[in-house]
Amino acid sequence: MNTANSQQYEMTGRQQLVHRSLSEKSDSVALLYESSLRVLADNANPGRILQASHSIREMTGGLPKVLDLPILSEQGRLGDRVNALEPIWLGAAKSKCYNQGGWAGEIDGPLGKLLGALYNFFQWWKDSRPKRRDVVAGLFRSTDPSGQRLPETLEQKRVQRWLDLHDYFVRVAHGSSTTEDEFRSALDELEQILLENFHRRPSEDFSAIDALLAEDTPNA
Amino acid sequence: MPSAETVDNALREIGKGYAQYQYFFDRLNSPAWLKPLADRGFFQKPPEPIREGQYISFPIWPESRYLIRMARVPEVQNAVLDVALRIPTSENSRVHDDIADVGLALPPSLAAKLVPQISASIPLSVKLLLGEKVKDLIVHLATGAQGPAAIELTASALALTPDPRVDRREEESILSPEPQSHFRDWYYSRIVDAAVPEVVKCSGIEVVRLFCRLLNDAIRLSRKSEEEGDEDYLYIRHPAIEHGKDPDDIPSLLLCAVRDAAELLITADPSQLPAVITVLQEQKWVSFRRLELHIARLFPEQGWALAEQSFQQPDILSRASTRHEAVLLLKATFPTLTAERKQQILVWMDAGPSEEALRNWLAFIGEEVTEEKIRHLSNRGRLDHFSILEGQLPEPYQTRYEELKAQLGTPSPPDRVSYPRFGAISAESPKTAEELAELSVDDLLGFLKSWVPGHDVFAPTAEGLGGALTSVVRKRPSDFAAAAPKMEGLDPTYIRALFGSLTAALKQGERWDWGPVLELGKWVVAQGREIPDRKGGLMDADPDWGWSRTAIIDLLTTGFEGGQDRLPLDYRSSAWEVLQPLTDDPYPGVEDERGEKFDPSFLSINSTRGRALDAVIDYAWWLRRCTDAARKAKGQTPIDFDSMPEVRDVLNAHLEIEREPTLTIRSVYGRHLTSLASLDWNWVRAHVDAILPPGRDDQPLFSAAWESFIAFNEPNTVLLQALLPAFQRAVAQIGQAMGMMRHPGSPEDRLSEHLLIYYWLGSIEFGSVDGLIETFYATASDALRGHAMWFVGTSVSRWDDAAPAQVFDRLKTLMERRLDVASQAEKPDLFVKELANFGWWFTSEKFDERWSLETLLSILRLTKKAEGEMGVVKLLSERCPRYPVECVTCLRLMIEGDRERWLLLGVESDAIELLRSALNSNNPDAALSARRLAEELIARGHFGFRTLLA
Repeated sequence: MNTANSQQYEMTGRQQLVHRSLSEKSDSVALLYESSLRVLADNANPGRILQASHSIREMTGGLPKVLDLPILSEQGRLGDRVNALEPIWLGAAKSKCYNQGGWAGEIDGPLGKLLGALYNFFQWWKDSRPKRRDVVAGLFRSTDPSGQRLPETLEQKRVQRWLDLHDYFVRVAHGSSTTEDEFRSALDELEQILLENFHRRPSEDFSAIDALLAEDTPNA
Repeated sequence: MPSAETVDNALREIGKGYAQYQYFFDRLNSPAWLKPLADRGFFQKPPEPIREGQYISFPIWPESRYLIRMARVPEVQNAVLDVALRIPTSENSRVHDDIADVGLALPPSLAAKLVPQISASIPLSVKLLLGEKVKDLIVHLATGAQGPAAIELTASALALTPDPRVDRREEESILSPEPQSHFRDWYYSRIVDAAVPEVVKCSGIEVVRLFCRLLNDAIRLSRKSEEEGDEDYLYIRHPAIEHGKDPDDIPSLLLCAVRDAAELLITADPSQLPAVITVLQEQKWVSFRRLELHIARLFPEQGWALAEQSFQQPDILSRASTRHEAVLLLKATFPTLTAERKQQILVWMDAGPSEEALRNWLAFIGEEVTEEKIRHLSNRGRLDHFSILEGQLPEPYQTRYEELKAQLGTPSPPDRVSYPRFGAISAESPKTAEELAELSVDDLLGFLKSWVPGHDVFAPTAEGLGGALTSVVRKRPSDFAAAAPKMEGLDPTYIRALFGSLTAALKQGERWDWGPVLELGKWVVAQGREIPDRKGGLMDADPDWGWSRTAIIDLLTTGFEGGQDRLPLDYRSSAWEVLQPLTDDPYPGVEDERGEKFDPSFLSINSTRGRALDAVIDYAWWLRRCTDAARKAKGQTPIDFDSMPEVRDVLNAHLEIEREPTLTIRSVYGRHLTSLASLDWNWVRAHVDAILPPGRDDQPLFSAAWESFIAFNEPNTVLLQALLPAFQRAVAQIGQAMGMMRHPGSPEDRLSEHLLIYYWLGSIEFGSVDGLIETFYATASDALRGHAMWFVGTSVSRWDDAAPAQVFDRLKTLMERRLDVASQAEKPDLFVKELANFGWWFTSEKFDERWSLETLLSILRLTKKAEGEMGVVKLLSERCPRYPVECVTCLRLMIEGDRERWLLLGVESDAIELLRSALNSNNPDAALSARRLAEELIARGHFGFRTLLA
């Protein structure tokens, strides 16, 4: 690392708060967050945004597991299912319908078997893989000390905010172009959400609500 | 109207958590937010009930609470109604209560539109306050001139459904089906009471029609399907239409509702009477005929025509279901009837009941049918009929009436009603206690000998006479005691009454010559128990000598308990001659020890032989007490079994298995073990193995004696040594042996209490040879160990300052050992109950303050649970100024472990004070922890903690 060109790495007060809140849940998650900040601080690294996105993507994807919630993907089990399809696929390649890379003709035994296996696979995929929205909703519910569910209207807004950010970081990690301002804005919003959930200050929120309600009151 | 940006900002704030959402809607009082929030999807998804196992809870919906407040603002009432109408059906009862409250807040014309929605929620299986709110809403609608809506809501609220037992094909077994209402009796009654007067005012005849329909349903659903005809038998539970209702009986309630609605309507508008009668006549049941007769009587100006018509069939005066109302109507309207009708009635009265009916009646009650009886009954009937028109009879009927009265006496009032009586009935005596008291003792005994009792429990029986005898003997115990031998040969029921009365008198301080009483006792026990060919039972007569034997035991025991004053020592041998044979009473036998509910200890105090053995021990103590003073004066030790060999012989005999195989009697030894040891320590030591047999094959005998011992005896360090093998066996068997004792508490719980007492007294120790305390903690479940800890904590809290310091030291050592074991365990949650009960130690305030707080903190770090949590929170609040960090941490851990969210119920103010102390302390860590915990609690919905952070 070219220390002359890198920014001195230092967390802001808010970032320290985020980091401490994440540490209380999981050291590994907090480490991912810290890693992303350190990489981002290295101006000499042309890939810092892409690399930081990787860490953040891992962090947002792994948070549910830290809280004993289903994670967004279960690649191991998926791999098993795909492996199970392979011999059926190889058998289907011997079908009379398969000729020089193309498919034509009446469905025979091997092809029928493949189609049936594919049907079952996608049924499983649909039924057993937790929906992303449900996972994220579960994340927010588990961190709400009240033990009660927000109305769906509000909950879905939160879920969408989170998913939008997660997808953004995934795209950037996969090479999608973005600007530094866009990245920092997304990171800022993510940190805000993390604080809202892991470092709650409802008394301040209540004061904000009081102020909003007073705006509408005559003579306010 | 708030700007879009303001609304978005607000939604962002309230989206942070449920507390923020709730806070927002609780504070929202501006109607300007209604539309923006509705446009953004609010007020459309009420929360569903939360089901956890067998429990269900109904979350509050802050949005509907806002709607209720806005329903009171005239400018937005239509908008509120639109929003409320779009709320979908939910199983959350609170939401329906809130919708009803919206209706109550809206003007009646708007509230009427909510009726279909509210009606749809009435059949919900669980309703909170809906009954009360529906009642109020009906009145609200009615007073607001919304008649049809009020009627519709009333009909929904009071609708009836069939008894589900009928569907389950249990119809054969039920006496009569019961119509089911959506609201329980009390709410149903309140709705009826509220609805009738108000809805009548605005809806008139429709209300009468509604309640007629409901009454018809109630009657129809109260009948078995095979019954036909118009008889509904409602007159049995509601004999007079004009009387008040039974609020627990729906048909009666509705009958009165029809009555009241009709009366109110006609009183307000007499021209409605024909319409009311028409509505009543549309229904087939006889109760509606009664209502017609009642109405006709109350409103005679218009009702005379109905009377004229009704008495075309004068036998409504004799039909059971219509008689009362018909009689009242005839008395009131007779002068206004046409001459033809009057004559028709008088001729009918003079004819009396038909001969065929009388013959059938005599046959029905099993009496011989004779002309004389027929004539008598006929005249009786004529008399009763004529009496209806007492004072109004023309000649010659008045003369005939007078002749009948002279012959048969004054008849009962014809309109008198009787209500069915239910309740306890007692046996009847041929003579009252007062009549018996007037007899001399000999005359009374003569009556007891001569009177022949029956066995009909509704007629005088021996039991009834015995009951009367009891009170007579109570007043003259010494007279009857002296005459006791003269009762030989009398029915056991009377002899039991004698002994029972003498026992009561003895307890009240009465004294008499015991000789004759004991002589009778000897005769009784000599009769044995069974009486061949004897029939008896409750309220009839004693089935055998068993109850008398028990009564004798009671008397002797009462005498023994009072020492020489009650039973002089001179009667030692006579008392024993009565008592000893009872120790061989056949009850209980091994056949009485079968069944899942068998409890040896319970049976021992409820069986003759068991109680006789108890009495033997009481006898021994009686002898001891009678001789103690004299022996002490001579410097002698108290007597033991050497001085009462008869006692020893009985006790030894009943330890022989061949002679005494029952577990019941074995339990007597266990129950009295400490007492026996005090009477004769050497005897107990010599017979420990017989009482608590050590062999595996003798497990039932061991358990019977052991469970009674441990349940009914207090720890005794001397006895402990003699019973060490038994203790070791019992401790090793914790959780394995099938207990027999059902009451008073678990023998294992009591065992744990004994062990802890021995431990803190220093009788047993960790590492001691007996191994009791180690084995206990190795075998006991978490629940049992928790009980032991609870016992220590609650016991210690009652100690005064005299308790030795080393006892506290030993208990602290115990606690530290157990905490150490739990800390190192693979599964600390196997120690939750045990450690949580340290909460009682903590709140006893008998242990060192710092030690108890640090121990509590260690326990909460492991388990996050403390029993007696309310007391713990209060005490933490008191100690927080001195130990702010520890106390806040303890509270935080308890909050984290409070899954049911009950912790702060009742102690929220103490928790607030605790955190306030920490915030105001000079300890920055404590202040920071307190602030964070306060925020956490606010986020949980405890908004009161916000005052700490303002």
